[in-house]
Amino acid sequence: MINQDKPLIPTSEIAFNLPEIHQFKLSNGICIHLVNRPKLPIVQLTIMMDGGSRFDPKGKEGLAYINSILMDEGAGPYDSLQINEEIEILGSSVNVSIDDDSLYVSMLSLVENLEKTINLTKYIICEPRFDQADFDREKQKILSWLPQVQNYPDLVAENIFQFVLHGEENPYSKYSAGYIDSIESIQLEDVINFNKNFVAPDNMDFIIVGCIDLETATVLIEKHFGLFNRKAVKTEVKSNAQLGKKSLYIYDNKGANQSEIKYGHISDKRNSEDYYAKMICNKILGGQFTSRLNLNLREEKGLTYGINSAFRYYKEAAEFCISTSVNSDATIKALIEIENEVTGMKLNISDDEINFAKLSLIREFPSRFETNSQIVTNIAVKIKYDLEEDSLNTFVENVSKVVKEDVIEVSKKSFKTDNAIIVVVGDQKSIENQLKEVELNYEIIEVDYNGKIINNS
Amino acid sequence: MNFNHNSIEKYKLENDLDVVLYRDNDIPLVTVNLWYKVGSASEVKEKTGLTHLFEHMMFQGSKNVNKGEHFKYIQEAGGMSNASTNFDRTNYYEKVPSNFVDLALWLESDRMGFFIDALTQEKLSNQIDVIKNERLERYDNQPYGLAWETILSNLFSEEHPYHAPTIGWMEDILNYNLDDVATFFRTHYNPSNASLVVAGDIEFESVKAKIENYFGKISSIQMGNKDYEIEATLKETKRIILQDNVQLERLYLCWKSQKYFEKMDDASEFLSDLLAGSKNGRLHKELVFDKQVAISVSSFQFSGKHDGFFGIIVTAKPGISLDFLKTEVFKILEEIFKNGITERERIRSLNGIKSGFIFALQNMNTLADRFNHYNFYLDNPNGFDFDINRFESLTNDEIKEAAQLYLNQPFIELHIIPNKNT
Repeated sequence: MINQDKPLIPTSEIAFNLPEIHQFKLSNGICIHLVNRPKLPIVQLTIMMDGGSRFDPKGKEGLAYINSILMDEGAGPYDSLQINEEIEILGSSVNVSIDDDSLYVSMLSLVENLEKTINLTKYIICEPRFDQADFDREKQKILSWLPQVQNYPDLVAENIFQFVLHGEENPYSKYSAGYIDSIESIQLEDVINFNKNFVAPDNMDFIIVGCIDLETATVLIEKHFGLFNRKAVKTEVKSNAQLGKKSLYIYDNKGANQSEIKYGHISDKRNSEDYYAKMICNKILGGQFTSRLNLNLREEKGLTYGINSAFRYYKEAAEFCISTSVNSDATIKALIEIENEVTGMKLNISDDEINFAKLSLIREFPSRFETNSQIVTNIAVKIKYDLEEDSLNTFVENVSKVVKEDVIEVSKKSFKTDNAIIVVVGDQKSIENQLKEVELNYEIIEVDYNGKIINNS
Repeated sequence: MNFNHNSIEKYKLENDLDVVLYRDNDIPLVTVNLWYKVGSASEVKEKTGLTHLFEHMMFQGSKNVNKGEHFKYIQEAGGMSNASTNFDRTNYYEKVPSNFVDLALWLESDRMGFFIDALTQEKLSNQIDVIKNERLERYDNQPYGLAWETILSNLFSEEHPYHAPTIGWMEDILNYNLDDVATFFRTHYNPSNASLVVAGDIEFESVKAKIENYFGKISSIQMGNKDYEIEATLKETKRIILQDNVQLERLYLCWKSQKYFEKMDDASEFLSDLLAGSKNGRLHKELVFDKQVAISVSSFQFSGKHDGFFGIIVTAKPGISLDFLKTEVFKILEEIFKNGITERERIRSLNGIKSGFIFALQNMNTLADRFNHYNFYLDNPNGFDFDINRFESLTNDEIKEAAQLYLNQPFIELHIIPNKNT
């Protein structure tokens, strides 16, 4: 008989077998990574390559983004509307997108339409048309909506944080959709060159998950992409981002009833040895609902709807970031609480907290393999950061291995309160009034919505 | 998709709790998805947002679960838990490794049976502060964030169940008291007003015994169905101009349409897709692609238990007036009133809808929620075939008829324009 007083907790852990990842390399350099999941009659294919906004030339920010927008605006025998019509009539989808590092072409199809959808994807990859009229239209659209960015407080805070944290000269500091000036300076020829440089088979990983086996997939990819021959031309873009001087950057969002807050600093890259210990530290501080930050600022003080923290990784850099929005009157109070919680991580961490975080990470692992797109993401991460082949298989073991001493040491080392970059997007007058009550030992700097310092003198 | 008879089963406990079980042993995960048949439609004047408040309060503990422990238990199990509220219903769900199914059932049963025992003013005051911030973050401090509550409160009369936003009016949020919460709980949160789906890596016999143990002892209150006043049509077109912290002018057009699974609600869904569901959607093609007078367009059919509405949203290119865009939208609608749609358009939308059904089946919680959805609206959790069939059987004439029937009526016209005083 079950007792209502307390829950029934299982005494043993569940068995979970990771799906097997098959690999194959075509003669033109395309790498295929495949997981066969026959349950549903669908296939997802994501083609990943270097070609994200990190590669935007200075003054042409937004180039990688425009390339991604234009690739499916007409390709092969079809104009812009036709190619989309051909995809839609199959009930398939093909999306081109970027992040800071990579360009992605993601295709989703029913098995019965797979070859047709792959054929259409081939046109988008190998034969984009780049017609002047399409370029002019899409460029004008971006120029029209870019000014709207300033009205989204969360986006403004993020853009300022990135700009200040990484520094103007480094990658990852710029807004991936670009700026008015940079978009205006981009010409169709820039896009064509960018596309040629990056969209090349030796720069491509094909990640395939769904109802298909390796042999069938290889035959299909070889048939449609085997003759695609071009060498990628990539300029190295390294980051030289350094830890900054602790400062509070304010963007005056006049009359706003909430303040958007970012707090963080540059951190160690993804392949550093203390990755797993940092993951545990972050879980405890702000990486889960029951984190110290959320329990304090939301569940105890009611200052916010939510607060979270994360170590965020790029191919050539990494950062730590806390994000929240709080009601305007509580901006400085919230900042003080955040600072206290980060400092607190250097002073004490209990065995219970560590064991809790470890169990949570280990037990939630199977749920990261539920959907095809989750599996694609897991494989993409492995490729992007050059992780060891068995990095997914050893995840549970690596988390288990972390001991209390590691967590304490890493926490002391990885949270850099003296170098924190703090961004507030909120009503400056209200914030200045709150600052009269407290003494900050660091500088306050006014910035515009892109993060550039406003010179008041 | 076909769900064979072995993998799905529906039954009722003696206290009238609806139970739906679905077995899929592919991955060692279980979803517990519980719908309470209460949404913001059940609220009364000056107490708007109470259902959404529950979405917060139900995570604040119950007799045997202390404040903060719900998430703690779930996270330690490697699971996830959340809830959502709409006009018609609230859903609460946990996804856990399958050896933790007891934990999820226990947590849901404890708050269904013993929530009141642990209710305090301190918890209520804290969550009122949190919701106040949620409202600021998601609506008041977001560009265009007040569009929907402006439209709903004008499209539906004060007596209509969909008049107020689900999060509630700020004034009401700040004034909830403990009596409101206790009374609302006693009225709506009991087995006869709920539907429980347990899906994933389970065995039917053992999970049935567990459900009986956890939920069987909770008693039900039988309550009569509330009658709603649903006006059939909007009496006259209303034009509303709202200044907001935005750079781009945006036009919203909304008509009253049809509730869930009534004749024509599927036709309206088709209409929204062929107007703006893709680059080839008629509004997109004409306004964004050919004439380049708009930056983006979208369209949707919302269907609820009591009513529905149809919307078109157009963001203007700077320098283009919203009145001009409205004229352009109506030209495109007139064309459909007159000549209907093409066969290719119908097939394109149909194939998109059908694929979407299959793609969505990958996530166990989405699937569980779908079972509850069909159980709630159709009294049959296995409504997939019924749902797909109604789209398949629609004719071009019916879609044309739906356009004439709904979009030729009075409507709400909202213009959101940049603040003039800043």
